[in-house]
Amino acid sequence: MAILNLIDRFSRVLAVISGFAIFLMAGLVVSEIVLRNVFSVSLTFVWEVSVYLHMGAIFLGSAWTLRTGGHIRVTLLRAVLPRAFEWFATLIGLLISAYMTNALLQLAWTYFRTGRTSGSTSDIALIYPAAFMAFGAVLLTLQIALRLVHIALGNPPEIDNVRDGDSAPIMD
Amino acid sequence: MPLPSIVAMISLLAILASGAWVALGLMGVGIFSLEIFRSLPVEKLLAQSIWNGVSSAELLALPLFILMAELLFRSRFIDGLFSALEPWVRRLPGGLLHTNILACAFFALVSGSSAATTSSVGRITINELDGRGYDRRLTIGTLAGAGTLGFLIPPSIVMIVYGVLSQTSVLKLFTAGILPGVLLTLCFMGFIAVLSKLRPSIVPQHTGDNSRIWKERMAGLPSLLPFIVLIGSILGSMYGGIASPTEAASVAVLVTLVLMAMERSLSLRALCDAATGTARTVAMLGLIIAAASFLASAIGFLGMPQAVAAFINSLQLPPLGLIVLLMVVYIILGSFLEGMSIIVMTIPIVLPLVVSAGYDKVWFGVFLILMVELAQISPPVGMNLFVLQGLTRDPLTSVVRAAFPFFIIMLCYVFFLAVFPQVVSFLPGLL
Repeated sequence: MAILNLIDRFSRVLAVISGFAIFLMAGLVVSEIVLRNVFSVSLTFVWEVSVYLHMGAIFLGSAWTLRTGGHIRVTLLRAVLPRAFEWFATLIGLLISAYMTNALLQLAWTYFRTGRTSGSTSDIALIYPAAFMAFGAVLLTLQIALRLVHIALGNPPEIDNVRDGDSAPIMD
Repeated sequence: MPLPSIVAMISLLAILASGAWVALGLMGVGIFSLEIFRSLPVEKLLAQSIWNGVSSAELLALPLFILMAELLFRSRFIDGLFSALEPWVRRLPGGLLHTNILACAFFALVSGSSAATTSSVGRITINELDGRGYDRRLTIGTLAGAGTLGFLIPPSIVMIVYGVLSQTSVLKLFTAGILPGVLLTLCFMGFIAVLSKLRPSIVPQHTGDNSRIWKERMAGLPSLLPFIVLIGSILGSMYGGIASPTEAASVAVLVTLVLMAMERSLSLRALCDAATGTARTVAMLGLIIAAASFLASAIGFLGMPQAVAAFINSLQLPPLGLIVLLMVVYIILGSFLEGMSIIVMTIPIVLPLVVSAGYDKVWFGVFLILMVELAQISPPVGMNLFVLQGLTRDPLTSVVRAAFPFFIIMLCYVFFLAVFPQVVSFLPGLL
């Protein structure tokens, strides 16, 4: 199933981008500290951009996190009726995720239509972070839907062996 | 309690028990309850709550400390932490289980996050203690309990949030957290020591040579150096007036990168792995925080916090009775809600009640932090439980059972602080 692999690869690329967004955030904040304390210059946009990077990182990394079993779930009853509950839980998750995605798409559309900005000195258009969040949510919903396909095909619903380092249990 | 609140609680249990993802489950309960009981534009509220929940600048310390932990995990000096602490605790009853507690207390000095503390220390110690034959349940339990020290021992993100919301001095709150944090660490270590005396089978019997223990202790000190440099850079940048607590987290990332480069463990592969690992943890925690933020709004609209406050007021309790009742309420809330949401939701209602009962705001801050710490290990929604489940891949029920004794210790400890509030107010009083 080439399309399934392609979506998995895309999700992983987004997760790497999401991680490097946190690196970028750290770099921005350190630059602000150095410039402020050494040159008495403040980068006024740093906190705002950092917040948006964080927001984007949460949603862009969500699909790969789901695919690799990183999103936490209560497994109390799954152990008793694994097959039926896997379908049921995935369907519930799909419904809620679709609802959330629709809400975030509407928010992004509103920001796009009204041209709303942050109102700060940097005056960043809110459509940018909202669009990243909505896009990440779309991909998350798609991964949940594909999870149903994987279950139907008899494939494992989650990838166990990711290439993110052997001894990092929270990631593997 | 009003019907909408009861339905919300039951539907939360049902959705989470179904095995749905926690973040989506929290959202689902809010959506379901509001669609049934309130005529509101739920989609707009959901989107705005998610936006507000994850757009807080205070939250930025969390991904930065997670990134630092991911980098630390991929460095070699992490191995050194365990081996450096080992000779210091080897002869104590309970042996290396104390490394979990001390490493958490140590890490809490560089991290303001409970989840990041549990995750970072757990990654280092779980496999090591498993391999040496320590009781797995106790290994997980010590991590669950001591991991919560991340909130109490400064710098603490939750304390900053409380300070801002309650208009209390953050410096006083940080200072107030020190003594209770040290005492709680000693309580956990005392419990391990007593338990290992009563049930010697929980720890492997050490047969090593202790004649050179001081040499080993001194030899291990250089391994602690990277952590001392990290702690120094974080506390130094904060108390030196160079950086805010959240900025100090980015300093920690930079210092970790420099230390890794000096150690020659910095590579493109390590950076990519750390980036992906950070993305996974940030996505998991961020989505839960976003969902909890929406659920907090939803139960606010359902009138649950007001119902609780009205109930407490009607009882006309003495001060200690009020605190005991609040403990019960916070435990119930902590079973369903994420800590930050509990604080944000309850401060406007509870703080005036507590202040009028004679307790000061700094004391209540520490009390609230401890109750939030309890929430971190209260099922079904407990962030430290989730982190440990992710680390160990054990069923959540096993993690909950492992954490239970430490939950009880913390509960008794909170009661102790309510009876002797001087333990909290002593150090801030010296400022």
